[in-house]
Amino acid sequence: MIEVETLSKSFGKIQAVKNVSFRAEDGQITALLGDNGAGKTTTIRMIAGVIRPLTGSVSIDGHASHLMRRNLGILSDAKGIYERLTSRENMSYYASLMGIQKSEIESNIDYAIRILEMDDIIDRRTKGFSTGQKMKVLLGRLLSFKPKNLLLDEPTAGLDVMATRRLRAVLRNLREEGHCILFSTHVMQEVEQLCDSVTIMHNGLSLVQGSVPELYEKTGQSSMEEAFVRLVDQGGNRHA
Amino acid sequence: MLNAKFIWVNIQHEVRDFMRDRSTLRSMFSILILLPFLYSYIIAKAGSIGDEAREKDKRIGYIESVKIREMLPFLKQQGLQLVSVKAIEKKVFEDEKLDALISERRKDILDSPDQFSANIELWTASTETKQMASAHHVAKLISGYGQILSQKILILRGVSPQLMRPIDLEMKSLKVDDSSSFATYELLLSLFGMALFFSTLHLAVDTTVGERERMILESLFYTEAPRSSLAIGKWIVVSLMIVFSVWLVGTVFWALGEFSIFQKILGRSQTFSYESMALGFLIFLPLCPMIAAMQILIGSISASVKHAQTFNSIFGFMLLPLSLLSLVEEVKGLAYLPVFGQGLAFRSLLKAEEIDWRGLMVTEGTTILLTAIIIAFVLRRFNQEKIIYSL
Repeated sequence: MIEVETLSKSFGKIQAVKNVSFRAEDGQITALLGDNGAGKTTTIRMIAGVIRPLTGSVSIDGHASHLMRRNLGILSDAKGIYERLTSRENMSYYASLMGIQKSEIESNIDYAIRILEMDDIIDRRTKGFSTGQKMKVLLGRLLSFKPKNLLLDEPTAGLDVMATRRLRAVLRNLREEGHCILFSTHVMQEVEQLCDSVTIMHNGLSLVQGSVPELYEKTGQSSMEEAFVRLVDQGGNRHA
Repeated sequence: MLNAKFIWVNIQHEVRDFMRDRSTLRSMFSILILLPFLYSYIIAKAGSIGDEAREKDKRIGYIESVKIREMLPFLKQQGLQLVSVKAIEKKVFEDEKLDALISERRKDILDSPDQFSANIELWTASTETKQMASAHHVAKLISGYGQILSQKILILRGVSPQLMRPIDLEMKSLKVDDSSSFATYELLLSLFGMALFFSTLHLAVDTTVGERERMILESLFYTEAPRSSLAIGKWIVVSLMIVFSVWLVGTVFWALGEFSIFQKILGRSQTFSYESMALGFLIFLPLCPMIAAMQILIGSISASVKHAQTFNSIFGFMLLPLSLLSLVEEVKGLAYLPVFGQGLAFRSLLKAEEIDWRGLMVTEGTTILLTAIIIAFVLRRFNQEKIIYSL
């Protein structure tokens, strides 16, 4: 479970995140929905503990995030992989840096190969991989140490339809296994199809949190896009 | 906080990744092996300049006069090719391919009035090394001729020949060929300098700002491995590669002087014992982690790979000429500073002179201290938020 309490962050004079609070439960997929520049990536970086918040706190399963790194798998917008290494080596290195034992890494990688269907690319060097194949390696990297909580920053960005559908299936599968999944996106359709809970962010603020039907009810709309626009307008007016 | 296990994991990973960077490895090894060949050839050539100047047929022009005409048989006997010319002009030098030209200056009122003395002028038209060496050779011959002449005159006046040469001085040296030694020592220093500064420039940049540009570095900070352990792992790998580069360059250079097949191809006769080279390697050893730390620091504070490569090149190029400052007598105090001190000790070693061990120890101590300071800056930088931003 990921809990965020009144997080704020400024870069010089720009306040990127303002008092953001929300909660992502175990066994659920929670979306951090917002337009470009809403503060999603900065929030994810603060949850990950790579940048320090100005105010507020983050807890992972009731503990500070820097103490729970092994239980927190993060796929940020920095989606680079070592191109001279194979998929397996990329995953293995990452798991080693998580302090996982060699034997456990092997079984975790086997699990990732099965879940992500990566038999054909597992022992290939990743140079020249398609965006979808790279995404498999990145997700495999997370599964190589089986974290309880997953934090994904726009994981479907750049993926084609088939790859996106496969990724959604993987996320559903992980939800069934009881993982807490928090992912940021600006794709409304994805939120409608996949998420149990949604936090809407705009201009660094968290405007509202609720399930998709709750947001429809609250805004009187029947599509996520319309509900989002309405909430952003209301939020903008309230904070103007 | 440092964690030995994560440092080791990182070292293994960095080495594996670097070993697969075939294009960088190819260029690195080519340079490290080709450089000693190139330097050996230059050293051989630099050493032979003086010899060539002594050996080659020298064409000396002269302007006719009584004194010069008297001198000509002697100069001819010394193997000079003498060419009569009409004027002292650059064009004459070029047309007649002259190395030097001699003429007699007309006496003025302040000059000695006696009939025995003459004012000879030796002209050159170039600062080219071989021509200058030829001119100096001719100057020596003329001066020798003058001594012989004065002795003859005094003997004719009844002076005993023994009285004219109370001291007979002949310069001798136990050192290796002086004409090439300066070039050899300085070139060798510069060869090691190139290996130290430039062999791992790509690796240091690639593993820091390069990983940030390729969007990899940030993901490493999400792991259990402390950032300090990641930084130290990277620094150790770069240091080891510098150590390897210096060893490789030294060994290839030694082998080129040692084996006759290379001596024939390159014309290099001067060689050093492997013991000297090994000791030289040990003298340079503490510099390797210092240079690596500096390169990692530059890589971690630079905004882009391009910037890091520029800053690292400037750093390397600045230190190369500065390292030669240790040879200047007026700034001997620099001998205790890193780079300068090692350069001085290495030079003494090659010249078979006594090494200032106390000075060298102080230098090595300063080097280690400076390395620790730079590493502290690296760790500080790695623990800052800014390390993950591109600006």
